[in-house]
Amino acid sequence: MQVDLATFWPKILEATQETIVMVAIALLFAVVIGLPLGISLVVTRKNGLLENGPLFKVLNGIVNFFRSIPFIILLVAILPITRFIVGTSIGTAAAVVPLVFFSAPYIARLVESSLLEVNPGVVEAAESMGATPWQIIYRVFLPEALSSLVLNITIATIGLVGASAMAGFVGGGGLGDLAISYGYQRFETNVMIVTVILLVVIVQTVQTLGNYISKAVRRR
Amino acid sequence: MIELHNIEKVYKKNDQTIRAVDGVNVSIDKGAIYGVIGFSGAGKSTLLRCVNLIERPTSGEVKLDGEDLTQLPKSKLRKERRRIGMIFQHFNLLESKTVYQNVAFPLLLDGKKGKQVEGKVKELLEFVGLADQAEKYPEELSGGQKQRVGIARALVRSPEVLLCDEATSALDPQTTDSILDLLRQIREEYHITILMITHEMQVIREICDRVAVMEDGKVIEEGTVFDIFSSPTHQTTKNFVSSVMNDKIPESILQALDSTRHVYRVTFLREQASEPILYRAATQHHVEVNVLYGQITQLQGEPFGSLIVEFIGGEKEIFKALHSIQQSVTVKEVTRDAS
Ligand SMILES: Nc1ncnc2c1ncn2[C@@H]1O[C@H](COP(=O)(O)OP(=O)(O)OP(=O)(O)O)[C@@H](O)[C@H]1O
Ligand SMILES: [Mg+2]
Repeated sequence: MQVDLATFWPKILEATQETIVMVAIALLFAVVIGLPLGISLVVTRKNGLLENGPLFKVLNGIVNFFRSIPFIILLVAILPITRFIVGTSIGTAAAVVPLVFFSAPYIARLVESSLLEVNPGVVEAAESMGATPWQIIYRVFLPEALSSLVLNITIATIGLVGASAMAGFVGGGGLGDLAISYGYQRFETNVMIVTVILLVVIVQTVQTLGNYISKAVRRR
Repeated sequence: MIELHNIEKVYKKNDQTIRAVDGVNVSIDKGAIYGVIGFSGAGKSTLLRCVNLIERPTSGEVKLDGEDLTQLPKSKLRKERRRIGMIFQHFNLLESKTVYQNVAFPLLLDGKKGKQVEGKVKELLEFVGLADQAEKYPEELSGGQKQRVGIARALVRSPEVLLCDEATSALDPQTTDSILDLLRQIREEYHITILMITHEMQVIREICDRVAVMEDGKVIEEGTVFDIFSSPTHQTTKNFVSSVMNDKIPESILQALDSTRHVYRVTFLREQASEPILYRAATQHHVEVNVLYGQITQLQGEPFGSLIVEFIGGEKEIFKALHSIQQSVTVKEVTRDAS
């Protein structure tokens, strides 16, 4: 099957851009929600800085709940919420909402595991110096876990790239949408191949960049 | 001045209760180096952590210059903690910060900045001998160097008290000595009260003034280092003392003993060690004295030691000689099955 090259490349370019924008915005919101959530999971747990059993149970429950819903179901299930937040249930903006719901709890878990790796002895040392809980979070937990946080957020970003491809189902735009509407529904194999290659390139780039940043911040 | 009154710490696990610290009373004079020794699980760390309330005692009072820290609200307690530095067995440095930043960390918490911080940090790095390592990261340092950073960090706010939890246990003997030297120097230059816990009696002998022996959460013996080393009463204490005093009689000597020989352990304290007591008794009563084994060392700058000696001569003369020696030092007969 022949493809019209004049419309082919601009379309690919636009889809790539949409994917990147979608992932970037979703990531931003997911981190803004997931980071404090992950921190809260660490400090409210038993023997944590601000131990609070009931709060921990609630947060933990919420995270588990959202983590157990497959993205494709989440996508459809929260359509009313999406419509409420962005005013529409189709398009790139609409795709961002379920992506955030999908990614934020995941990031919370990843942040939690990064922070739990921080040597408890160092936290104790800070406590012995009279550091406030906020100082311990800001001056001990986050800098000590930074390298690991970067790696984990890289993993979450790659998860988002994958999920964003599924957002094609709500007409979310991006490479996934393109692959479905051209490659799958119209049997344009070339489009399919190019999309997959581009997704691979994006994932590789993100991982390489993540590894690099993680190393660079290890000693800062 | 630190006073611990009836400190108790009880942990409840499932339906089990562990009395980690069980009614401890200790008072530590200003400027003293106070040691707490005990086997693993005796409750030493728990007790130490009760002093700055990193661990809240289940009951009891922790008084720092008369003020009960357990009664303070959290924010006040945090302020008081600035008066108490702490160092750890595994150093607990921030891996993501340089040596300089680690030492400056407590000042950063206080919101201090600029020249004031720089001067103090440099002074302390100089003091611990790490002025040329300021830009290194902890993972590039040896254990001894890391502990020096820990010490500099603990001292940077000029605390009045320094708490040491097994500060030398992760270090080799030579490095241990250098860290102990440093602690001694700290006391001299900064007049800080030091409370240190350890399971190494050698550490106690090297630098402590007083020592408490802990077992099962209780202090079973307490006193000056000299008294505890020269006349331990509790069996655990005796074991600790003999672990460093090397006062066990070698098997070869014990094997050679029989009822015809007169072998005694003579224990010298302080100025007794400098007098020719044995020689005098021997010449006066016409017996020969043969030293089989023993040592004389220094404890807190005072001589102390015990000798295993054999008296050779007539029964009567030996009896007289022993009698005259007993006027000034402790003498105990050594038999094959005893120590
Ligand atoms: N957080 C805790 N929860 C439950 N039990 C604890 C806790 N901390 C300490 N214990 C128990 O309290 C007792 C004393 O522990 P502690 O750490 O004070 O001993 P230690 O004398 O410092 O021993 P070591 O020489 O091994 O460091 C031990 O039986 C220990 O298992
Ligand atoms: Mg301990």
